[in-house]
Formats: sequence, structure tokens, C-alpha cells
Amino acid sequence: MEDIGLFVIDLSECTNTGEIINNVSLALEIPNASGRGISLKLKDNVLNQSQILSIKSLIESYNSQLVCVETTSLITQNACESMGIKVTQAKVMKLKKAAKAMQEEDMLVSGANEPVQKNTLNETHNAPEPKMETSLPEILTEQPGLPSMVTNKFDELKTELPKEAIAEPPKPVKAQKQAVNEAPKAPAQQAPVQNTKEEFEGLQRQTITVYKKASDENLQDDSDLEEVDFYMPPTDEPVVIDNKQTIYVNQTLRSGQTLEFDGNIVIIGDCHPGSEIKATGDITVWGVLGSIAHAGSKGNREARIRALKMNAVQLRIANCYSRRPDGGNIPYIVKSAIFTPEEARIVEDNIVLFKMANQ
Amino acid sequence: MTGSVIVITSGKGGVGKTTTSANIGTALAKGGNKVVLIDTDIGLRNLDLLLGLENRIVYTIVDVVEERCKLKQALVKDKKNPNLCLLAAAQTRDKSAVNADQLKEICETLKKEFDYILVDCPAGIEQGFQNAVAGANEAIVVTTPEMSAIRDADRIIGLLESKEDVKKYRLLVNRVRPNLIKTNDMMSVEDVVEILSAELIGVIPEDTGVITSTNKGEPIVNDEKSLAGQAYLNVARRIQGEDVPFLDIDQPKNIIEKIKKFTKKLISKKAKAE
Repeated sequence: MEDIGLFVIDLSECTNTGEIINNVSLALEIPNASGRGISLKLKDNVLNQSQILSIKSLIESYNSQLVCVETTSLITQNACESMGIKVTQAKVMKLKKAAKAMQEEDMLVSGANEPVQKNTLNETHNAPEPKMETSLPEILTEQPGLPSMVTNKFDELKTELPKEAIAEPPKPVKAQKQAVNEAPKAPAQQAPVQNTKEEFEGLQRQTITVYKKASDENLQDDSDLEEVDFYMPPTDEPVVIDNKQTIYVNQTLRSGQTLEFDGNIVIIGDCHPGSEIKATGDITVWGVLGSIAHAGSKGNREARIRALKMNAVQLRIANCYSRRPDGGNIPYIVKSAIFTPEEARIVEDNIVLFKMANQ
Repeated sequence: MTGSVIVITSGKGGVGKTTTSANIGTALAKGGNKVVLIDTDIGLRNLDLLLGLENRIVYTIVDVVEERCKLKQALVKDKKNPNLCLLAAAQTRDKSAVNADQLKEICETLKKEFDYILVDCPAGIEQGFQNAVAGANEAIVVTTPEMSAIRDADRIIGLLESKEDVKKYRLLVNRVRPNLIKTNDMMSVEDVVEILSAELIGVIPEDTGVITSTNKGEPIVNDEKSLAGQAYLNVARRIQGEDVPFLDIDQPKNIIEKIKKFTKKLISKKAKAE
């Protein structure tokens, strides 16, 4: 990024458009903000194209430019993209963790794993996004009155940031976009996420190291994908988008059945205990997930597992393993119209479930 | 140190092999022995459920055989008892994934570190049975007092006798209902032993607690009040070489029966004294 001085305005606390515009104009009153690139943190606020346009023109009236927007809302994302504004996905990881995760990923890649390496290269190449504002700690929350401090801190952070970490954030953005394109039926893909954490019980330290090793081995084992043909419905030809495919499986996965795929998996049906799902991308289950699910099996830590009802025996993402808490077994799920879909992702080396609320 | 490898088999399905394995394993581990349970029922595994370890399994016996992991990594430690380990079967494969030599090798390796290796055998007499018996020095034949189960047990005993490595086999009569025996509606344990002409190692009464404990994922030996649990504890003690008298499984269930039994005892004592 050339315009280093991206000015970040945090609007995650705002609830309506009026508040957003008010806060933006307040922030723009600060002398430092004029004549610079502006980045908006919108979180789960939903803005349509005309609202974005008015915010953009407001910013331009201060001689600044709206460069990028960070949002979890699908509508906002689409609106921004249609106007040529860059969009980044809100990241949960903090700056240091992001850099650390990046390093770990590099190590994985260096483990002589060609396919993964290829993917990473492609992704970083394809995504031209600036990454800084995503990793910037939230300093500006409802405090637009401290501009100099903010910029100073920002510069400090920037210098501390390792180079490879700068190249990292586009990755999730791309993965996210892809998933949207490929799996439009996926439940509330980018719905606002509430931080109702429900941690899967972490495994003991000892076993974690064992698992990591295992995932290294798995990386090599996954190369044969012969089993996929067996489970794919004959009519369902996978659509190739970039190099990640998605398959739809319209059946109930029963005990003993395995589903392995180099790409994303969408299952319309339940997954019974004793079955196994393994995907190099995301796993989405439109039903009850009661089996073992392994997303990002080739090391993609941004992969996610989501299900209408999460009752998985084990959740695995990349090299993170987690199991169901003891006694948490729900032998019979009463199927009702009210489900709270949940999404599992990696937060600081733990797999955490997030409830997905309706938009 | 060389441990003994005991296979738990029956021929017929549904007589309680897996329940017996889980309970004897837990009971032996409670007594301070190092115990490993091997589930050889590949494709239809259940032992992990009875022990409540389903969510801890990462590697299975098939992964060990196919060298995706080391044997130690595949051993799942029990929640409560660190002396007890489980080597789980794979659910997504079938019996042909493992052969007899490989299982024998696994048993030989485990012998060096564990006191008891209990092999839970699948039903039937095909490959799964041949695998399970391969490494065993001893066998426990589980049967119920039913003609079909006894017929199958007889067949199994015949097969076991032809195996050189299996030095000893003993009989465990499961799901005995004293009420039915009294009314002559069920074969008595003595009858079963006579038909099969084998040494008896235990008699387990029918107990509804077994069903609840299975669903909870906790072996019934952990429930000290349960009669079946006590019977299993006794079996474990007999395996260790102790001479334990057989449990009186004809225990009254309500107060009236208790009084009846007590008075009967008194009368018989008096008669003896006279």
C-alpha cells in the first residue's frame, strides 16, 4: 500500500445510518483526517448502495477518499464492491496473533507440500487488498477526538508489522468471496456474528502436539481423492470456480460413510455419528452435524464449519483438533423450526463456535 | 513383564461381548492393573460408546496397521482411570482392513507394557473372529441361557480348541434371570455349564442398569450398588487368580420378598440346628 496513512474510523458501535454519518463527519473534522485515504469499520451494519454513496460523497467533501470498508454484512459488501470500494472481512485475530499464525502457516507450507503452496501463492497474488486496517486494534471506538494518538499508534504498528503479515489479510477476503459465489444456498454466509462463545473443550497439550503432526501426514495423504466419485450424485457436476470446487450432497450421511473433497462441501441433510467429512475448504451442513468434520484439511486455517445444529463428535480445522465436551451428547435431536445455526472457526488456536443470527 | 491377552467372544451377536469387555476392563483397571481394550469390530464399533470415549478418538487400529500413526498415539486414555486405555476400531472401514498377523503383532507389542489386553471380538466366525483370536492366550466365551447362544458358543469353543495359542477358555453366562429359572422357563447356569462342559468364570444377572449405563457411556462396575456391576468385579478378581465364590444373584427386589427370604433362611437354620 502506498497511501500509508490510512485513517480508520470505527463505526462498529453505531446502530443506524444517521449515527454512522454523524460519527464519520465528526471524525473528518479532525485535521489529520483530511486529504487521506479513509477506511471504515462497519462490522455488522447493513448499508445499501445509496447510503454508501452519500457517505462517500461526505468523505470526499473533506478532500479525503473512501478507500476500503471492513464489514461482515453481505449486502454492504456487495454494495461496496459494485462501487469499486475495496472490502475486507472483519478479523477476529489480533495483530500479533495474525503474524504468528502466518508464520505457522509458512512452516506448514515449507513442509514440502506443493498443492498448499500453490494455493497460497495464488491467493496472495489475486488479492490486492491493503491489509493494515484489519489488524489495527480498535482504538477509535466512539472516540474520534484523539487523532494524533491514533495516527502515531498506527505508524508504530505498521513498522512492527512483519512484511509477510502485510500480505496475509487478503486471503480470508478471497476465501469468503469464493464461498459466496459458489454456495449461495449456504445458511447466512456472512450474517452478523454475535460473540456468544461456546468453546469446545480443548485437548490436552500433549495430544495437541500429536495432532499437529498428524495433520502434516494428512496433508500428504489427501492427494488421492478417489473416494469422492463414490459419494457424488451422478447428476451433480462440480462447478469449477478458480481452483476451488464445491460439491452438493443431497443425502443423509450415515455411520461409516466418508466424504472427502478437494474444495468446499455442502450437505443437504444430516450427518450421523460415525461418519466423516473432510474438505480442503469449508463444510456446510444443512441439517444436524453429529459426526467428525475436518475443514481446511490441507492447512487452510480460515476454513469454517457451519451447521444448523452443531453436535459434532469432533471438529477439526486445519491442524486444530477439538472434541465435544463430555456429557454434551445429544442422542436425539428434536427437529423443530427454530434452529440457531452455528459456525466454527479458529480463534487463537482454539476452535470456537459462533452463533449465527439472522440478518 | 508380559501381560495376558484375553479375547472376549461369543459367536452370536447381542449377548453382551462389548458390555463384558468394557466392564471387565474397567474392573481390572480399578484393581490397579494396566489394561488395554482392543475393539476389533471394525465397521461396527461400539466399545468407545460404552466407555464414553467416542469424542476422543483420533486414530484407530487401522491407522496403526497402515502406519499413519504410532501405536501409542492411538491409545485413548479413559476419562476416570489412567490405567485403562482403548485402541478403537475404525468405523469407516471393514474387517478386511486388518489381518491376523498384524493384530498378533499389536498384541505382542502391548504385552510388554500392559498387564491385561482384552480383545473385544465381533460376532461371527469369519475374518473378524480370526483376527481377534490371533494374538490371544486366553478366551472368555460369553453366552446367555438360550439355546441359540449356547449352540453358537459351542461352535466357538470348538474353534478355540483348535487354536494352539489359546491355552485356556472360560465361560461367562450373561443375562441370567433367577425368576425364570425358578419357574423352569430358563435354563439354569448349571445346565449351561453342563451342556458346554467348560469352566465357569462368572454369572451376570440381567440388570436394567446395564442399559442406562451403556447410554451414559459409563460401565456399570462404577455403580457399586448394581448387582451386575458386582458380578463383573468378581469376574475381574477371578481373572487375576483369586478364588471368589459366585454371587447370590437371586436377590429379592421388594420388601415382601426380602422378608420371605429372611424367614426361609431362619427356618432352614433352625432345621439344621435341630
